[in-house]
Amino acid sequence: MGLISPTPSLVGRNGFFLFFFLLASLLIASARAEVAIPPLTSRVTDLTDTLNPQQRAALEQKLAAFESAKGSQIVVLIVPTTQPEAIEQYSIRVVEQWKPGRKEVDDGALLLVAKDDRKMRLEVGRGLEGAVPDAVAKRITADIIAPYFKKGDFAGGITAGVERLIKVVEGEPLPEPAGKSQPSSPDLLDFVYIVVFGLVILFVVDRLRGALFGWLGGSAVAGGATGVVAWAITGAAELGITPAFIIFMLALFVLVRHAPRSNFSSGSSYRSRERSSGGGWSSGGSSGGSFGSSGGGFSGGGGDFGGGGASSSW
Amino acid sequence: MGRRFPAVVAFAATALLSGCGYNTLQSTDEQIKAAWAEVLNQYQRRTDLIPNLVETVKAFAAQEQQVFLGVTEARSRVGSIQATPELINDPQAFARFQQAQGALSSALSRLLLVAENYPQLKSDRNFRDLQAQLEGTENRITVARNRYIKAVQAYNVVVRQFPSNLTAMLFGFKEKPQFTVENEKEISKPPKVDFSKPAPEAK
Repeated sequence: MGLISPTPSLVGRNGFFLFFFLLASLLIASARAEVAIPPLTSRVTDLTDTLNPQQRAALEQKLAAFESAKGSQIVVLIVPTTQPEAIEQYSIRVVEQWKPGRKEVDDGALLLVAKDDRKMRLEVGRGLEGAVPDAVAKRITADIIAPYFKKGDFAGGITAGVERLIKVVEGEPLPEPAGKSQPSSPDLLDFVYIVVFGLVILFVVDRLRGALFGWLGGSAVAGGATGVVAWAITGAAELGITPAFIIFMLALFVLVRHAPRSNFSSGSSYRSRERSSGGGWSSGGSSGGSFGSSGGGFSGGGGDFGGGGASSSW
Repeated sequence: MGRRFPAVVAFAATALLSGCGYNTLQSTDEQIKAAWAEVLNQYQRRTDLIPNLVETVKAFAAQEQQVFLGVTEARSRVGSIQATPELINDPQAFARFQQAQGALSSALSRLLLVAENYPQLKSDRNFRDLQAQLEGTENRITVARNRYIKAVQAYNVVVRQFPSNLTAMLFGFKEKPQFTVENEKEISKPPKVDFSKPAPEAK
């Protein structure tokens, strides 16, 4: 009962704290990273300049052709090192962020090479674990790629490994590939919902301010409560730090801060309750949480990984 | 205006206590269940791999009776614990389950260590496949455990944080056990190599 305090200034402070709590949790989440995960901008990410542009382009073309034919997303990442983490730990973090493979089909794979550690890992999405069981992943890395790497032929090893992987996955019955924009549209839709919802609230309250000055305090309470509810619901859906939600919180924050000291009224808070349930629905409906991962025309489709695959050294 | 104030408070209280707290408790609780099911699933997968692995190693290193015995015993101890989804609501049973799985982990790492002494076994295709499967399963267990830890963390925060702790009390949501630190240490430490006994001759 005591959380919503009777004076508007304290209400404003609650919104303020909420905002900084969110900001703090955002910072903590990003500060935990050890070796930073590069943004996913293309199918082949080489942080060591091992591949020359032609090799890179050829590899990317091969992977793109495979995706359009089969729907399965294979990505390659070359880093100098994954220390202090083990390659398995780094690898799972990369795929959790990149999410290669289609959503629900989970047919993504990552070939990760830690050049200075002399270690590589083939991380296999859940949907490909049948076609590429750990033993097969081990053979691809240890028997096919490693001999090339031992000779220092990184481009040759990666190409041979990717070719074998493609051959193995080709035999697996997977759903037909859909249009390219399809995987990311649900996230975009959620983003639009949340922004529109935030704007509607702002608009409504703004109009009310013009009509009835005294309602504003109540609106601020309702705004704060809406924020808490949205926070609770979206937090549960692991959406707490998406850009859409931050924009939404910012809008509420501005609203709360702009509230002059005045009396309460139940009228506008009642009005906002309808909105708050609507907002809870639209933001709670999103479960992907990967919005904004696209950079240069390529993004992961939302595939899930469970830690399958194999690591090898050379 | 003043007499409407209680209505505002009542609405806010409803939104806070029954609205956000309750639903978050439900969904985080459900996430824990899913994460825990995955942990159990992967542990089971490891248990299923063991007979094949032991048989394969036996074919090349029959004299390592002590190691086989250790693995078999650890496996049967794991099997004697009812690994049900309800385990997460019983901290003591949870601890026993953890201990048994930890013992099996170290017995298995001893088995793989023995294999290092037998070049023929090491190059056997069947053994290599099994070893890759075991490594993959161990990694899946780690991933599943980490996801469980995160799910429990999210849930426990809701259970303990004001005001949702009141909701939790009201509806009997209790804190869930976490993977313990001692156990975490035991599992993450590298296997000890013991050179006191002379290594058996390679066959």
